[in-house]
Amino acid sequence: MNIFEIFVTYKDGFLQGLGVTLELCLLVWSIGIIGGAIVGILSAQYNASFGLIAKIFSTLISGVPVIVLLYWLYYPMQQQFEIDIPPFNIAVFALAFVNIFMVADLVKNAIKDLPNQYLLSAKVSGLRGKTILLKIQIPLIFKQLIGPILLVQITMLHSSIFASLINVDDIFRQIQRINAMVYKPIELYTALAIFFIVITVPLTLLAQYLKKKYAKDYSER
Amino acid sequence: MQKIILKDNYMLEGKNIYKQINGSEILNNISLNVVPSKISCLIGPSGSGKSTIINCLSLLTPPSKGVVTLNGQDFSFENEKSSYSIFPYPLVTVVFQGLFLFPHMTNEKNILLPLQEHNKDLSNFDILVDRLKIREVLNKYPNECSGGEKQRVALARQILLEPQYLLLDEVTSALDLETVNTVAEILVEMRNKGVGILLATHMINLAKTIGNDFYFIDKGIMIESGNISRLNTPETERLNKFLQIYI
Repeated sequence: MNIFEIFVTYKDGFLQGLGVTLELCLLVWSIGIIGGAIVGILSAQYNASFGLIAKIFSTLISGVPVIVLLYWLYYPMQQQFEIDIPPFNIAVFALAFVNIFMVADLVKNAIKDLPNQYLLSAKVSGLRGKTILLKIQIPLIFKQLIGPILLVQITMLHSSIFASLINVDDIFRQIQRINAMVYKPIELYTALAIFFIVITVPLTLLAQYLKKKYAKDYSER
Repeated sequence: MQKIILKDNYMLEGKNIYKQINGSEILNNISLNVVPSKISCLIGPSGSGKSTIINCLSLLTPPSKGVVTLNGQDFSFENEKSSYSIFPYPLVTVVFQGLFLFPHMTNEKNILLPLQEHNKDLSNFDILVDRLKIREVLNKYPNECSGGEKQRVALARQILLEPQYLLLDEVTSALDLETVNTVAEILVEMRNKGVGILLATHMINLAKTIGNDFYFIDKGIMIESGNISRLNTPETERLNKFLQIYI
């Protein structure tokens, strides 16, 4: 059986795994980017209070491997609290949680690194906090954030395969299942690698496109 | 611009202002007033503390110690941690030496954004744009303009906000003489309408032409102050030497 015959034979399993992985990633990406932007902005605005709490969470999260977090949420936590949460939901929660704090760190640092002179200028011009945030700070940090945030999303896509270890029927788990039946590891895992490349290359190109489109060169000549 | 009518004691006043940065004293017991309908000139060599005075007086940088009084309301500082976010910008506004135009906006947007935020009358926009000769650069970004063009855009932005007190930090340094004259005319018009202006400058002749009084500082210390005519007969040797170099 060649790879095409395998795909045709097991197309339902492939498509289901593909759908689960894409759904998982879309949820993790959207929750992470929106949540991370909000947490990052609040952390920069209220550095001493909200920012400190976010920093503690961020430090703890970055110190724990994603797979450990997934396992911890799936096994001991559910046992401890005697609850039963579907593995897909746990995977979304864990990966989105990590994504939120990774994005928040980027947003917070970008806001804090923005030269203070523009904020002073906005302040003496009487611009309100909301206007300064929406029309000065966010547009100025957008350029430097596009690349790193999309890089984090690619990392999240890669981390999504860990969800298979807590029984989420994602593409990795489906490939493993099919491989157990047909034993064609080279073909199947090469196909999986191609699948990831097909998703990550457009993301990288999108980052470059956005940078080019929205990031005018403001440097002094 | 409407004529501003303020109570007699209304002014922007800095009393016994001290400022330390990283342990070194930048300002040492500085007191000065910005009075409505007057142009006060702040003169002194580079690094003497002129920009720091403007930042402290506008409360952008809190003084280490001292009192800033705006129209009778005191803002007291006992330490660096005191700060006031309620200072009524752009009632008091600043044109910085570094200009600090928003780099991602065209010059036109730079001028219009604060005006729209405060629903300011735009009828003076075209007049001022033509007087300052910046119409051709309105659609350009700040980094596409010369230093002089950026100075004029920054000036237009703050002037159109119709402040009560306008603090200017070396804003004519990159302008040609003709444009300096135009700026001088505009400042005099503003003064005549009741605006209090503090002009930090190296251009002694400009100060003598449009100023009412002066403050001369060196190394953060007020050396001499008084009516602008006293620049012709300075009392201190330090000011005398400074004037010989800069005139």
